[in-house]
Amino acid sequence: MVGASELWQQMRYLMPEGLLLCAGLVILLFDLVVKKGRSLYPLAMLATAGAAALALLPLESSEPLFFGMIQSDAFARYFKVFSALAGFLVVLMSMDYKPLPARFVGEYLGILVLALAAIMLLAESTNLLMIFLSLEFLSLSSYILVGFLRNDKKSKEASLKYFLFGAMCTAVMLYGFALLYGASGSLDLPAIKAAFANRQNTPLTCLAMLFILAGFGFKVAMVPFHAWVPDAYEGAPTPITAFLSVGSKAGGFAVLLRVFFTVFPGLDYHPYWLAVVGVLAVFTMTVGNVIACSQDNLKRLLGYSSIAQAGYVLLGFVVMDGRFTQPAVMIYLLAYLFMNLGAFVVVIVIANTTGQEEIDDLAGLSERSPLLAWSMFIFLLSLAGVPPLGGWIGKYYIFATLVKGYLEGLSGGNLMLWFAVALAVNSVIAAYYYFRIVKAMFFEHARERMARPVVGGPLLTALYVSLILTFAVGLWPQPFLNWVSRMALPLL
Amino acid sequence: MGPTLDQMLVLSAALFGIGMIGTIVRRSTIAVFMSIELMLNAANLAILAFGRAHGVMEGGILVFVVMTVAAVEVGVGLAILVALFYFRDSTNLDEIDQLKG
Amino acid sequence: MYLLPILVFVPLLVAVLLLLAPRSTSPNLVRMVALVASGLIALWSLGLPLSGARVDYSIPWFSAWSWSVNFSLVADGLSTPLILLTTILNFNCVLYSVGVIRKSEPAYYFCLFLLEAGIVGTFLAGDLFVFYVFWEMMLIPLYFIIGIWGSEQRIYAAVKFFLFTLAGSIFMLLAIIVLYNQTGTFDVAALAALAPRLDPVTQKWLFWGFFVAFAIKVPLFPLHTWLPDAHTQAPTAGSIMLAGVLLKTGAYGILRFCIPFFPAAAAEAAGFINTLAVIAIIYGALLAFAQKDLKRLIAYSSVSHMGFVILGCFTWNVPAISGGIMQIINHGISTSGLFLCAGLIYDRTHTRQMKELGGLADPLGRLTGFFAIMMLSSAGLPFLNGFVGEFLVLLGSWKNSVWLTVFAATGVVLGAIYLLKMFQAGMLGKPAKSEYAKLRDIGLRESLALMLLVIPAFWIGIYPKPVLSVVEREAAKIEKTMSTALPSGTSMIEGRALWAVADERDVQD
Repeated sequence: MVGASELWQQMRYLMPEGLLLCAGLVILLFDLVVKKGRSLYPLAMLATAGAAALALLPLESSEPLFFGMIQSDAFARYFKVFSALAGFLVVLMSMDYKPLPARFVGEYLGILVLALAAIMLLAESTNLLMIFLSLEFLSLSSYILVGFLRNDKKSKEASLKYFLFGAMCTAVMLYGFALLYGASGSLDLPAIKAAFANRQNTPLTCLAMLFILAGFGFKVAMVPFHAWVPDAYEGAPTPITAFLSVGSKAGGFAVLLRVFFTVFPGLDYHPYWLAVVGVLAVFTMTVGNVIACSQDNLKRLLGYSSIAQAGYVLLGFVVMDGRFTQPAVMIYLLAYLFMNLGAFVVVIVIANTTGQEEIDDLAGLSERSPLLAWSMFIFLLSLAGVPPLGGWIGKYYIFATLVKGYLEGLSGGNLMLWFAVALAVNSVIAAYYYFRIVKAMFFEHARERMARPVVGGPLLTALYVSLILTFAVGLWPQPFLNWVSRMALPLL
Repeated sequence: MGPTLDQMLVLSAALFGIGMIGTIVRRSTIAVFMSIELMLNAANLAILAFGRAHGVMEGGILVFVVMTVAAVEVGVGLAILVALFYFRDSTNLDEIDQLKG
Repeated sequence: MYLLPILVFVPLLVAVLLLLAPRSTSPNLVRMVALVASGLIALWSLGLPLSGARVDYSIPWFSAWSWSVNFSLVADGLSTPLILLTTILNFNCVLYSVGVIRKSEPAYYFCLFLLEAGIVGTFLAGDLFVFYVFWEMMLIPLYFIIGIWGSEQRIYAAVKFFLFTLAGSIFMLLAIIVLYNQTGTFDVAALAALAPRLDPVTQKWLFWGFFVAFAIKVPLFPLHTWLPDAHTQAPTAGSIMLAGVLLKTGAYGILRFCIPFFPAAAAEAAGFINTLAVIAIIYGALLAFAQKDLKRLIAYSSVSHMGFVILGCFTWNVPAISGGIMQIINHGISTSGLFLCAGLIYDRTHTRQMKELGGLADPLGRLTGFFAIMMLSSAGLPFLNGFVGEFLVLLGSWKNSVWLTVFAATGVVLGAIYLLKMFQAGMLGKPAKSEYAKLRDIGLRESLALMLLVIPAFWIGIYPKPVLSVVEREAAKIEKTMSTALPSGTSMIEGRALWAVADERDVQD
């Protein structure tokens, strides 16, 4: 039995999320006392920056912690850094986001910081119970954050739709957990893996896998669990939209990687997996890209684009070979973090200037603010996967993973080549709508009385950080690649 | 002798199916909430049945956690609904159409 | 040692400097910087032919999970002439543009220099990954040049151009990745040795993966539809770079990658591709006839002329291949010259419609002279550059297939006719408008820009040997690859499409 002192020892692995949890509660408490919520921003920034710093400390343990609930390994640490970094940028973005009611900033920041801790917990859970808890923790905080604009009907409606869809997917996932529990007799991932070692794939495990995919697919915005995305993205406060598109999506991918890499490799299920996930991934990116073409609202457009991006990342899962899938997915997410957050920074500035977020509001941006126009252009290029930017390195590795899977003669290899072709076709469709924005910014002229956008300090910082890192991942990928390969889950 | 594993699983699957259909078919938000609760409890039932069949107890803990979380979920959901009701005077999903989706 | 990286990075640096220049920078300073930088880069590139047959530079870029990429640049007989063409045309464009462009100038020169860096990088890349990066990089500035500084339909043309080329290149990316996984290297020199040993089916797929991307850029019939729009709508400098070097990147890719990497597949496809090339020659010429717009006419003439390049490249003997390469260079000189003249005419008359022109020879004497030389060089008059390439291609092609040669030769005749017709309609006859009499002829700056093209045109036409000897060496290399890659003893006949073999028999009978 593990003693109390030992548990206390194990706490040191949970420092980043511990810091965030405490900070979240402190912010909520302060909010009761301090009436001016804005003074809490530095606290939130400090907490996220501190959590990122703590997560960067090389504190890892390959042993299961807290009775097998948690495994604080390098993989979890990667997503801790990821989540804290995303959180830091989102807090910066929120500072200048005008529609946010000043009175409630405290609650907003408190819940946001707690949601970041939830992502961290999600990435390190190794027990179905813990996964369920942290997933719900993340979902519930997200529902509230989406509906945070008190006097905005759209925000409330987005929140309700997100909630209903999310609750349904969670219930389906829980049923999947139940089936998995039934098939293996345990909730503990390593124990489930041991129970499955060299076993045939049964209908029960297949069903369990599908149901679980529903829950995780909801988080990463996979078709057909994507229906909430456009509405929630449009209605939510823009920083929260950015958070959903990056943070909560990364959490979903983290748990997807962990569960599907620890539990299922014991089963002989590859062709089945390939068909289901591959086809879903292709649908995801195609649906996202095709519908995005007809969107006029920037947030909706980026929402559909984020569905498509989830599809690209999911294609990395098709190969299910630990050597390639994990690093490809992780490097893609890293590039995606910077380019997508950067794009949302520009959207916030535009919304602050014109009061809405339509593509038309970007017309003639290159004349009104060259800095914003060129930055947005870089982010969009990166999202479209044009070299030599971060998104391109990510897309390249996804492509390379598929080709590797094809050439190494994994079963269903030919299908992989077709998936790669589908990815290629989708990249062209995506370029079309990303370049609709570019067209508006550079080729069209500003309407009359369009103000010159003003970028304040925090937004400018977020913009520069995203810009520099988008370039860095593309131009000098070596350190990022090294880091990612060090942080991948141990191969089984 | 209680019901067998198969019987309990069939019941749970039926409850889950009813809940699933309910979430899709019913247009009243409250009814959808209830359907989701039904699905969660169907899962709980399955977990307990499997736990008994395997003779392990961990499932029971999960069920407690799920029950708690479900309560929280309803709390949050109703709060959102009330906030929306403040604008709308309706809980009918068909009338919640400000956003295109 | 730093000869090559400087060629790529200095334009890039200049571009970034121009973009980051404060808004208050005087336009004169911007123009000055652009002019001087572009001139110095052109001078620097002259160091390439002087420093030996092959120059290379390589440093590791990144590597992870069994994929490693070197940033390597190589200049050899194939790329050197094209790089010279690029840097000189860029200087030309800047020289022309400083007098014309008045709209957001820093951004304009940013695009021009970024384009130069992209194209030079494409020609220099000694690593497929690096090649792809530059290949995509050159799309962006041209997209802007067309979209921002173009004429009425510019947005449509820019988007069409961008999507067409992107669609082609993304499949090339897939082919590059497959190729890497099969051979374990991105290095072009190593691949030239390894790739031909791949199994025929893989070769075939990879060949087409590369070829479609290049054929769109060339552009080969039926993938050419983006070109007339892009050319017509682009500003003059855009047209010059597009016709002068951007199209060449496609032909360069075919010669550098498609043929040496996949000789068997290339041999199998040659019959089909040559037919397409001849169709392009005739189709382009016929459509050029029907055009009323000056720039559109030149654009279709490009389709026709680039057909000769493809025909030359896919006919496996030294004269044809060297003719193809010569045609690449010559088309770069003549067509850019034509576009430059068309631009100068447009600046003065504000119309591109030939029926609204006419009678310009009187007021615009010097311009008419230059235009005539460029027109004749494009038409393939002996003692001008255009003749050398087309003649060699036809000569080589004759040995391969008489029918194709006959049809291709009609393209030359048609070319002469529509170009003369264009010249006549534009410059000779009665002025369409009375105010044309008061037009100002070209000045020193513009004459200098044109001289930069006229001199090489005469030089290659009269004394082609220095260029031709370099080109023939490259052609011989390709010919050797083809003859060793194919079943020995049967030379090229076996590798060709069946109907081409039948053709040959008819001739022998």
